[in-house]
Amino acid sequence: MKVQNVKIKMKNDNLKFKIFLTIFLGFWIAHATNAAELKLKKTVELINIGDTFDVSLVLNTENESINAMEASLKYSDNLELQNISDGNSIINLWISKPKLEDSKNSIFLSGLVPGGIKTSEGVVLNLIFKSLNSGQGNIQIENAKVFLNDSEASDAKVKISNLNLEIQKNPSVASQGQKLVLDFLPPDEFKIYLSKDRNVFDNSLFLSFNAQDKGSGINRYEVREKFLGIWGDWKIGESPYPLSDKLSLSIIEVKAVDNVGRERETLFVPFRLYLLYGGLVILLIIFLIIKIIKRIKT
Amino acid sequence: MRKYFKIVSFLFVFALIVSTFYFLPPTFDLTLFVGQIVNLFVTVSPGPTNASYRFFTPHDTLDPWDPWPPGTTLDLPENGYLNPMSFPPLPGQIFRLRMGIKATSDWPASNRKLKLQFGKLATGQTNCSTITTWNDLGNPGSGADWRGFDMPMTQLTNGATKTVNKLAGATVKGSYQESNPTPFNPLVLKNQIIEYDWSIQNNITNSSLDGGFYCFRMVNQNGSALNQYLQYPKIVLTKPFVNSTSSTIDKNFGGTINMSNTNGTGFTFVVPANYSPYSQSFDIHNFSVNDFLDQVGGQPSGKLGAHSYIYQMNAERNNVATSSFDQSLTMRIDYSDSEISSVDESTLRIYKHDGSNWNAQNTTLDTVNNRATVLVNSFSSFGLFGDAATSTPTPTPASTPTPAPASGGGGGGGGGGGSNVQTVPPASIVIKGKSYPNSTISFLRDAQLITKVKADKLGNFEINESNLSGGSYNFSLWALDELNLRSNTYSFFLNIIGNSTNNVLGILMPPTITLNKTTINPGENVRVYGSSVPDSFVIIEVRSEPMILSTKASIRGLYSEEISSAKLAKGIHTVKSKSKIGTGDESIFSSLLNFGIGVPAKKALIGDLNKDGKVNIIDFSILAFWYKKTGFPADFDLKQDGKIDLRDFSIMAFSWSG
Repeated sequence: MKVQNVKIKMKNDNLKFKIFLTIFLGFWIAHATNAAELKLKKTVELINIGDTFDVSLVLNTENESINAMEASLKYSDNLELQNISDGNSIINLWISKPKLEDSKNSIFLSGLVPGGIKTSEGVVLNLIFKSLNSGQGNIQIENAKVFLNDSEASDAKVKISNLNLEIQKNPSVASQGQKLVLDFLPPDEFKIYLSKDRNVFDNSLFLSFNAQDKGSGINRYEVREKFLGIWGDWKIGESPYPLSDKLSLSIIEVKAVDNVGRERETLFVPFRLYLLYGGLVILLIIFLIIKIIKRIKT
Repeated sequence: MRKYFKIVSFLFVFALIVSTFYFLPPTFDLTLFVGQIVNLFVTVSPGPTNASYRFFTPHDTLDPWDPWPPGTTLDLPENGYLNPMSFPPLPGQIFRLRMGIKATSDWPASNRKLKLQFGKLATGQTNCSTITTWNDLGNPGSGADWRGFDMPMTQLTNGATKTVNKLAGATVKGSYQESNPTPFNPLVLKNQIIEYDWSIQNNITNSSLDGGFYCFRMVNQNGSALNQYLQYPKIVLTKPFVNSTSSTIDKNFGGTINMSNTNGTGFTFVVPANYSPYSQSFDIHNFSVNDFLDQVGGQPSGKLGAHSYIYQMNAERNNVATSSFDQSLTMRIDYSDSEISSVDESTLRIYKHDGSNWNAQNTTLDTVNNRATVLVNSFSSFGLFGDAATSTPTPTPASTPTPAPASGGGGGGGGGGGSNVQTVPPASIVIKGKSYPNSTISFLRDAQLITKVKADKLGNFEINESNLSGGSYNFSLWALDELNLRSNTYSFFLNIIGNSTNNVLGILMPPTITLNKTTINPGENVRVYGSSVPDSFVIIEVRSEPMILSTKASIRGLYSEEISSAKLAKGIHTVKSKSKIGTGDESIFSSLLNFGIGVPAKKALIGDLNKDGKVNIIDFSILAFWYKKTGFPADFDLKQDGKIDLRDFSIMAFSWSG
């Protein structure tokens, strides 16, 4: 009887150990899998030949604060990239704005979220693809780097979820849930900064700017230097933008244009120009007053 | 000669004055400027405030649960007004309006009755405070443009006390109202919000629909206005519809609704048997495609209109809106050859407008009989669109505010361009929180410094920003204390819907932190100090050997604690702190500092490359200039790994000040 009791106790101890081990392993696995996730998501179930469909690159930070990421996206030959949109992206500053690389079927992107972000489903990028041929297709994330928002730019573990597609043979008359974004608003208001630094552009004046467009995304920037506020043409440019007027006597205008053509313009008038014109006006007023006084006296 | 000189001088001075005005910022608003000057001399006297509102679909309970609009996936947020994109009530339609009134002094019970009024804005005006003529909400069945609606349900009795408040911050339950005035109020203490619920019917005839703006407000029973209106519920009506039909379809048998158009086209709606547990009444309205697109801002990007009408549908039972059905319903649009003369017929799709976007539906095309068919299980507005025919120029039947297609997109309607900006109302955000007394809080939106605000003596701060278009925003805050120390950045991500007010409350700024020395000898102490929320607990964490210390911040928000090196090994150690307030809420950690015992501390690396005391877009530009290049100044390599890459940008982003 006693022996039996000991056995039962041993059995119970064994069971407790197993439960403990299971819980411990559960926690350990849960902790170990607590990595940021970069995933590709499509918005439609079935894809037929000739369909256009949306794919989003989505970041789940798994409760970590992330402030930088870069990755390459590669897609199979039976897909054609039709559009890249960073409108409404969680990325605030692009180091390399996402674009099709010279080598075919590859998009590189690299960007920042100053201050960091915690999100379970932050859209980094929206892509529109067209299916060209039936069969297996895929879009893959390569060379992904995600950094934690800390003083050391520590690596965040990254889990990758690629997208495999089965493109059906039959051409469909219907577009399966293709989402077409309307963008009624121009880019958000933005600021421009005029500065110079001995380590950049040979200590010449340059502009810094960055605009956001939550609808279709920023397509380009245009810059105009109006010398003395009178002459100047629009030129396509990007930040940092070196100024050609070394005297800083030009009104500077920067225009952000979104992907549906709406524009937001910001203007910068150098203090020197205020001084110049203000001074001239004051001089002329003084001149006229003197003339009037002289005339009254005569 | 002298005469000519005078003329030339005059012209020159005139030109200079004109050009000086030309340099004024283009956004200079004289009315706003004068208003701000007037505000310097005027103080707003305290009194009840119309603080908040929300539109709901009609329900058979005292507490509406589905925000407007009915039967779609779109939910209009609190303080979001009804515009043509959010399906404003058509003639005869009913809605519920929850209104929050904030007391700025105590109201004893039975102190006042209130009533609801409406007014129409003059053409071109969008500001409800400019309305000079306000009308009382009409009684049920009256001829007023907006009138109360008597819901035929015993649980919905005029004047019944509500059971649940729906508006943010509302704590006192007012009454459900089908007519003016409300009953006497219950006790409402100063700063409490009492919430009322109104059942309202649109009684404007179709021919009078002109896309006009109507505003609502609550006033005292004698008609005197409340002292302040922070929010006016507003409805922007549609243009008149072309045709409408209404049918009740038996749940057991289903049925078909047909609508014939004057141009020979048609619309058919097939409802199967057992589509719902109850028989429903279906209302279908069709609008001119041009009128509709003018109001919602355009057709799907790069598409052309392929049918002259947009169809809007509702289903209801006993005036209670139905959101979804047990079975899919079939919708069919019959189009004509002339309607698609500019369109590639094979690309035709039925699109559903969800309140902000057009979404292509899974459309079956019968090009022989000119029919497009879809299955639907919730309602909204539907239209037919397609790609431009390749060989045809693009005379579009669609509206004027057509966004130009994205690069590479085919076709594209007329209009478009930069100046063609729709008047989609912007969203706003209100942020409140606690920082340190008299600290300065910098507020950043998407990495751009937007404003700086000063916290009061208790450390409370409030930030307001408006003019936000809808979308995902990354907001950041950091504080500068009276010791000139900078806090760590507190960031949050918010998906904002256009035309909404968003409240973010209870933010707790992380403490600032500094050390009296960064290198000490073994046996010496190092003092860690900074600012925190007044009276908060400050938890100080030291590593590499874990050591937790805690202290309490003074009423001025200052804290200080000695770290003894006796228990710490020789080498580099780090320290950070966080605040904990009485409610148990904790802030995020402060910046991480390091100090050396017997060895020099590591140099703190930040991204202020141009040494202007800020880390912002200029520093980003400088670093971007050197990205993946060689020959950069050594101190630009923030990671000190011999290259400028993403990691250096990440370190810069961590220290971002905007």
